[in-house]
Amino acid sequence: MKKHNRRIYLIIILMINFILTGCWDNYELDTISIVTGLGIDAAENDDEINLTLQVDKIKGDTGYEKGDIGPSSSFLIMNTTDKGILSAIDKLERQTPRSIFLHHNQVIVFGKEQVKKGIKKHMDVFIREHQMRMETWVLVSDGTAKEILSTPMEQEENSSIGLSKMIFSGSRDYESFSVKLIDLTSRLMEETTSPVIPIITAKNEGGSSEVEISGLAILKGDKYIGELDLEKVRGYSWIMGNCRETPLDINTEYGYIDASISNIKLKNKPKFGADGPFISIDFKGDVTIREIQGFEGMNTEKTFAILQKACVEQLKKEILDCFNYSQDLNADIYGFGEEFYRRYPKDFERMKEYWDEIYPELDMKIEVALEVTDTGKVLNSLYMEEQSDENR
Amino acid sequence: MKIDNGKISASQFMFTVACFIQASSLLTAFFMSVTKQDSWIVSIIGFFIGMIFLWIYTALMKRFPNKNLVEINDLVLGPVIGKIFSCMYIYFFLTLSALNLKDMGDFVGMAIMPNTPTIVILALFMYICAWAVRSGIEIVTRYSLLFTLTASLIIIATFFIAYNQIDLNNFLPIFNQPFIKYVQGTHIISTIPFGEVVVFLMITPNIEIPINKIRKYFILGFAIGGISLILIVLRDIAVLGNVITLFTFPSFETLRMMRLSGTLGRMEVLFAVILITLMFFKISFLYYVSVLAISQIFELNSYKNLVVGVGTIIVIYSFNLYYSMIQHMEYGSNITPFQWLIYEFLLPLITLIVAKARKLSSSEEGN
Amino acid sequence: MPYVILIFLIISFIDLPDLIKGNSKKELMVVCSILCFGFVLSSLYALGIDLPSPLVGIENFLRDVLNLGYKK
Repeated sequence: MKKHNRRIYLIIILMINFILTGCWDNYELDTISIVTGLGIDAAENDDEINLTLQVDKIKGDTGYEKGDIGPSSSFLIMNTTDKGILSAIDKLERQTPRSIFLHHNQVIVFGKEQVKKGIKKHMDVFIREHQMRMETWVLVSDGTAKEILSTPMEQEENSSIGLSKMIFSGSRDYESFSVKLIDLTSRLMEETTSPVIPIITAKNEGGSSEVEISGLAILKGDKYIGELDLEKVRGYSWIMGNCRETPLDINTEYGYIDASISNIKLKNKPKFGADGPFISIDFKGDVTIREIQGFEGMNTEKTFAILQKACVEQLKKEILDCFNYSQDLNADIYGFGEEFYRRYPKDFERMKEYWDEIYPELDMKIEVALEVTDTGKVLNSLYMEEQSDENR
Repeated sequence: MKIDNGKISASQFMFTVACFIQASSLLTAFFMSVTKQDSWIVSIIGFFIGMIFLWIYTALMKRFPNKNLVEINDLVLGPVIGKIFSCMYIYFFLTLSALNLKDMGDFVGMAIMPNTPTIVILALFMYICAWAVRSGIEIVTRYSLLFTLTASLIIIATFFIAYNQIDLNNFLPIFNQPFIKYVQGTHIISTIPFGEVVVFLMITPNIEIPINKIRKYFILGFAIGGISLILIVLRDIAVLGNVITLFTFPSFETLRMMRLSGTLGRMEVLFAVILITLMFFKISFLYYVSVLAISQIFELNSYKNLVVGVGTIIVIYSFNLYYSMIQHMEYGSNITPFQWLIYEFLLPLITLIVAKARKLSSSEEGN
Repeated sequence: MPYVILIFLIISFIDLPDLIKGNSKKELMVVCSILCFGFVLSSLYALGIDLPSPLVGIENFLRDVLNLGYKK
């Protein structure tokens, strides 16, 4: 009897295995279209958006011609206009034989026009829908999102995948270039911070097309008000505290220096001083000299002293430039308001409504301490004076 | 009179308690939406308040080491009031089973299998739970060690993997919220995950340890579970920051964000699997306790025949409880702690006081 | 609805014969009543009739009458 029972159980278990995969919820690879990029543009109607989906075609062979969007490229673009993101996706679902699968979405691109109108009302879908992940990169396109998603890149056919790889490696230099959906949501939830989003430009030069990161877009509330170009991005990144090894090039009156600052220890503290709140920044770093041009006839001590001073001056200038620019735009891109809230919550409650007036008057006291630690393989450059040697 | 003759060893009991509490990591959203970034403070305070509850339960267990809760009620309070108390407990156990079942069904339905009708998920799940319960308490708690170890390993591992995304600034500002919120948070966490261990009073006769050691093992198991829960809360606040109030399942979102290297990402599946396993354990245990209580009240010889019937009642009851997750969250953060306080604190306390007053104990003869 | 009846018939065939043979009236009555209760609940669910939830009832009682509960 026992053996008989066991066999019955075994059969039941084996049969249950077939339904364990969830027959209602199975997704077969040839019935889904995998979306790798999602773009939102402004449509002519004010409350409609133009949705672009970049879908990756899964095929075994790689015989695709570059620069083509059509039956022979590895991705296709789907485009429609509707009131909301999900209703646009529903519309697109009716136009394609495969159902739309959003789990592998790499990037979300907003067109600049759309960002000028505001993005907060479209963020709800991204947070709520289960298929959208909080770690997708968010980008702003210099033109329209459709352009970016339709431009094939040189080394990577599918521009979304290429962009996500580019951001991932670019984030090692400037972490401010990588904005995930969760970062954007978190900053939008803070009342005084202006979020920043990287800007992508598509370039079409003589047959070859490239997509590159060209700055940071500044949003106030959720609308676009300005952008930081690449030099100011450097000034921004010094304070955000996430630089690992960042190059710095300076033109002094004696020559040109290319150095890189590494091993950065940054103390970024909001404080209350005699005339009100100010930010105190304490910057310590090591300078590695990468290239020296000029400095004719000077010896090493003088050179390095000038070098160090020049680096300190340049750093201060860059930080202050970016800070003043953000003050002109009245956009708290650094999150100083949030820092005040975190450390002095009771005082900040009083300051919160007036933050728009306080921020342009905010002072920044910068202390920079740099040391030249690494000069490469040689100490002197070819132009500099030889060190005198008694025994010669 | 013992209905079930299974025996649990001391360490099995300890890991059962730990597993039971770890399974409540799905319910962290209740107090996280109230106390936001200070949730870790309320968790720690709630942990110590849970210890107070534990003291009451172990006092009862020590006094009546071979009687389970229903029998204690009968003995201490007399046949009529005792049965009323026991009926209230049965309602509590059934509701807990149905609530946990519904939570699990919601989680699986929303996050993993959205198109499957919920009743299919729940019915298949209950089928396996029913199989476990029918086989006895020993089977239900047998795998507690494995589940607890796996869950703890996953918690610790994800803590390290999330290291890059942890921002300690997310914990500031501390102590900035109105005091009533802290009281509410502590109340929620001490009743919803930590207070539910009152169900262990039903299996006192089956535990094989000398009386004076019960307290030690119970507290140890409670500590393991409590520390896991506190670690989960800490990790979620550190990674998610101020976005945490948005999500219904914060731990799930944390694990979605983690990435070891290029390909080793999307770890939320791990969380889902271990959660389903832990919930299986918790629901089977609650199911077992409900069936045992019902069969004890009617003084039946064996509980095995009731299993399937009670199972269907629990499944249907779980659909009836709240009509949506919104109502669940709203009631769960505001009123349910008070209701649970009655069953977890008030009733056992009354029983203990009356037992002390009447000088009743089952280790002595009579009186 | 037909599924409900089918499932309960299967359940009774698994459980009841042993009980009837076993000659214990009290158990038979309790098991039968619980199965009936389950059957009634399931049929109501299958037919789409919604019963008010006892949990919500008790919680409303606690909140409104006894005034226990945290205000939103």
